[in-house]
Amino acid sequence: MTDAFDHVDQLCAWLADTDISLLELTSPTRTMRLLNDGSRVAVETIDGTEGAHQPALLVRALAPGIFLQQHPLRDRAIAAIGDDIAADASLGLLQIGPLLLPVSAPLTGTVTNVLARHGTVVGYGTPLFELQPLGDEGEA
Amino acid sequence: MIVVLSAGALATVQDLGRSGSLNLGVGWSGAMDPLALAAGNILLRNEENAAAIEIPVFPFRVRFARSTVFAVTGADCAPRLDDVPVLPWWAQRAEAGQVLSLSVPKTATWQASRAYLCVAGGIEVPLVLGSRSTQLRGAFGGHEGRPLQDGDTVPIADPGRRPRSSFGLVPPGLVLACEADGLAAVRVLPAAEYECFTPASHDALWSTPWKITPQSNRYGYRLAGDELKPVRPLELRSHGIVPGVIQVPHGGQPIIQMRDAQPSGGYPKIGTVIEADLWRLGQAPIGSSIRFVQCSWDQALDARAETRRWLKNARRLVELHCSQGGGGDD
Repeated sequence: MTDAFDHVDQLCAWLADTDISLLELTSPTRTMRLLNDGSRVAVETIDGTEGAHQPALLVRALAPGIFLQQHPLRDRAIAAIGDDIAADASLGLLQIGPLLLPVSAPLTGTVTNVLARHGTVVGYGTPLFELQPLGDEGEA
Repeated sequence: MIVVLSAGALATVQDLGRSGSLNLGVGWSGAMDPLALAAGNILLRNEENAAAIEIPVFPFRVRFARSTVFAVTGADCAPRLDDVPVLPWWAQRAEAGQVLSLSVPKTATWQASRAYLCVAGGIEVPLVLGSRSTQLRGAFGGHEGRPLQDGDTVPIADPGRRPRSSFGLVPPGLVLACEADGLAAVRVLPAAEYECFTPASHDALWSTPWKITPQSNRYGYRLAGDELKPVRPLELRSHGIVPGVIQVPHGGQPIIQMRDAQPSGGYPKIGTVIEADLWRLGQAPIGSSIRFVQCSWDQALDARAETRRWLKNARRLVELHCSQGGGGDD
């Protein structure tokens, strides 16, 4: 997939010819603002380590199924709000009949919200968790 | 290859059992919870009868000599791979040198006592009379015909198909639950000498709890409860018996024959636990109480069909998931 961050110059040139005053580019690790004041376009980069400005990442269901926050044999959630989760580790489960599939963290981060209720049916793409990336460790 | 670091006690290699040799005086053996074993084999894409390690006493620890996909089914014994928790009933890859530790089962959500360590490919021990199960009485089959000991190295067969990891199965015990008055229950067919017992004994059999005493093991479960009395003293010649048969010796306290039962006995039989429910007994912890629920021959066959349907459906979904390129590594 082409990364918009590789084409900032082109985007600035296009932006200068429009009435759009702000274009914000966001990836899991950084945010870039292209500010158009009518005469010129300024570029402002917000580093991913500045947690306050960094958007949370939505972890979505990769299949329809029943969302489980805990394993059927356990009485504690796999990942609760405030937990730090390593990249690829499980946040929760999706049950499809007798099958259990993991809902994995795409990168290392802190769980900031659980968006689906344990035991409810979710569709493909339903947001399940909000994950605040832990900057450097996430890329390590 | 698996290296046993801490064997606990009475951990044995078991498959689904050694059928067809009762006429030679050789009992079934095999997993006390065949459903957990079969499910583990489905998770790992093994043949249904591949051998695993049955673990009744904890803690239990092994080291994987090679990269191995494994699953721990049966009782939830909080598995840890090195220091990282692993989910129960979950296909997981261990790298060479990693240590798997199993601790005393938690019984919060499902009362169970035996865990099965299943590995992709299955435990590679010689077939004896068509089975890899350990025959403790005859000291053959399994790993050298005996329980595992610290320091044993147990070979693993080469998995034909590439195993997948990072997915699991819902324990069927949660779906196929069977209870009576809040106690784990097993379904029972009245057996040949049922009518020889008093009506009070029949009432006690069907409507009172039966405690699994510490004198219970793979050979049989000795139960404690109301005394079961024959109408008049019964003397029988020894005859063929199978796992599940509930015998009543002179004291009136029943014994259920289990997987390592000898193939003949002479006590009167009041009932037989149906084949489809033997796994429930296999998981019932010592000290817990169970109930007997009367059932018909047709209900017994339906129960077996229901179990087979669950396994077939689980196999279908696992194969579908794996063929879609699902699962973690490779």
